[in-house]
Amino acid sequence: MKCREFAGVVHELARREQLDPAIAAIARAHAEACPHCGCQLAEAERLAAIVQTASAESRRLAAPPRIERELLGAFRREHASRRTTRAPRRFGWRPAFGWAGAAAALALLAFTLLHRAPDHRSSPVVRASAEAAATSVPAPRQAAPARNSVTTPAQAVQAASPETNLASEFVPVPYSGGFAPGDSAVIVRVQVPRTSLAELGYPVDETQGSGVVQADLLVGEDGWPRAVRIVR
Amino acid sequence: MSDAAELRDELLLERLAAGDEEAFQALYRRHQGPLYRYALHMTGRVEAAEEVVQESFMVLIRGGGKFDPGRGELAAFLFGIARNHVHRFLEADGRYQGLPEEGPEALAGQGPAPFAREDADPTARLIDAETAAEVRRAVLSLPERYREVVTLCDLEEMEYERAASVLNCPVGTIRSRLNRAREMLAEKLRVTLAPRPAPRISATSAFETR
Repeated sequence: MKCREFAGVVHELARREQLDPAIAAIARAHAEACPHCGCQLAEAERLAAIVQTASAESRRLAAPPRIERELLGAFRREHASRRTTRAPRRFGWRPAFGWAGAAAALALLAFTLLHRAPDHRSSPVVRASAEAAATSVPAPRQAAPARNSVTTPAQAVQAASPETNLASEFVPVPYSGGFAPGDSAVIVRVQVPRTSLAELGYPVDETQGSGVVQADLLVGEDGWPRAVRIVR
Repeated sequence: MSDAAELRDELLLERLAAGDEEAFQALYRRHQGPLYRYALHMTGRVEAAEEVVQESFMVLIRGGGKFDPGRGELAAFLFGIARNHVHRFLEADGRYQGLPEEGPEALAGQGPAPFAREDADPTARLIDAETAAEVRRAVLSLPERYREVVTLCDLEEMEYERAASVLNCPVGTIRSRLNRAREMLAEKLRVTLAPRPAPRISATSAFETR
């Protein structure tokens, strides 16, 4: 093992975690033979120890009881209003107007666009890299002209709807699985309920009622939305 | 309450949807701690962490959002929501540089850590508290993508696979980011990592309350 390779495993070695036993044995032998890497391992072990101390110390931290009381109040109000207005919902993907509902309804369209016309001007196809899709895609400051084909989410943002007045960047949909390298996606414009915005980190103003807002969905080949962008 | 506390998340969600208050409480008490700590370590702000917890659970109260038990755990779903709120907070608070030097007010009134023995040497406990505060400050100063993996995998001791599902990225990305994050952390904590001649006995908090 070379010093550079050792640097790539030293922290996992120090924590004795998720490291192949054979590699761990080779790395330990290297640390014993190489004074520099031996020092690195000792430092990594001290770091692991103090991070573990910090982790244990942090376990006392929790939201104050006031938050639970406030949420319970909200829970009671929500269910009181449901009793008077509609039957209780089951959990899962909502039909018709939720993110999933919108995506499912358009999945076939998205898939068709994806495979039928990758170079058609009105169907921006995204070759999303896993790294870029795992984080938010920055929205352009100005609308850019449409392109025939795009290869990154950022390009997709520019290619889609040049007339769009964007209110946000793409925000990952929680637990949507992200993108693998080479995955494709399309951008589909839909209307979504205002209350769904809370999942994306937007404040939901209860006084604005249960209206809808326009949004662009970044939909994967499987029909599931990966990221959402709000449109004014 | 004791009955509900032992039920699986999926059953509690069914009950919650039917208006069962105990089910909501059980879910809240099971998941609020990790979410709160995650948000606190990411933002360094107590009020931001409280807001993140509140907004994440409001999604459940409003009807569970698009959580589908078939696609993963509720914890990962809630972390995903919390992550979006944290990101938005950090964006809005871009000028914030972290690393405030404050007293231990943020930790006050929250009781002893479960690991801490009441009969433990008080000096040792203070040293632990100070060490923890130094680590938190160092974590807060990391770039967001590295702070996330350290917070989830090291401070919350989340498995790589679970962290990968929360962050929507492959396990390999978690590993490489974590390795880089630990290198940066070691650099920032070099003084702390060196053997110290004598213990200091004043604990400080890395978290800011306003």
